[in-house]
Amino acid sequence: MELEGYKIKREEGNFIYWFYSEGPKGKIIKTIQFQHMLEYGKDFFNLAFGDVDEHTGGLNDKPITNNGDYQKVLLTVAKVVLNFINFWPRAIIQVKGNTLSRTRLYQMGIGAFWLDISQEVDILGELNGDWVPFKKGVNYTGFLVFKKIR
Amino acid sequence: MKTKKKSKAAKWWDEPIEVVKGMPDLRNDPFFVKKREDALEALRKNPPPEWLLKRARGED
Repeated sequence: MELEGYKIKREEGNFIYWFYSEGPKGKIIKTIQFQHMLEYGKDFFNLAFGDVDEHTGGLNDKPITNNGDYQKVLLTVAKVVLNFINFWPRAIIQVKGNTLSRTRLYQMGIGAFWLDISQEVDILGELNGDWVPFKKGVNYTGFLVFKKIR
Repeated sequence: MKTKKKSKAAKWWDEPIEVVKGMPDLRNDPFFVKKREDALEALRKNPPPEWLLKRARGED
């Protein structure tokens, strides 16, 4: 697999990352925020992913556009997550789509890069109300990603 | 005898990320706010394992 994602930028002073998705629907700004969830601890974050509406500058709540580049987008998201974990090594990141299909997409990304990323991170998958070690081929409803405990 | 250390191969996620100023502040965008609320709701329904929460709180 060609391991090349989109060029990523991070806004100074906060945990928001940006990149452009390019495809048949043109250039779409995608953004990832690591939301601090202090209610669950100083090192707990939620990953929030959305498209920026170029007209309003805000985030649009429509389902994320399919620009024909989902593999490249997933790779870019994976890079952002790993970069953030290197920046904040104790971070525990919840990854959960607002729809099951979106969660499946995240799962596909984890599965695609598992060989590499499993050397760096541990992942728990949410399965029938339990949190269990991630295994490829199993369908989960959410994930917790954190630097590998050695 | 000095030996040459093998440099660690760069990993594909290690590329430096450009830090920029001046992008719109989206932290309080309604979409992200709702995402956070949904995430909290999901965590309330099914909290992470206690050992992981202790780690998140720095109690490990």
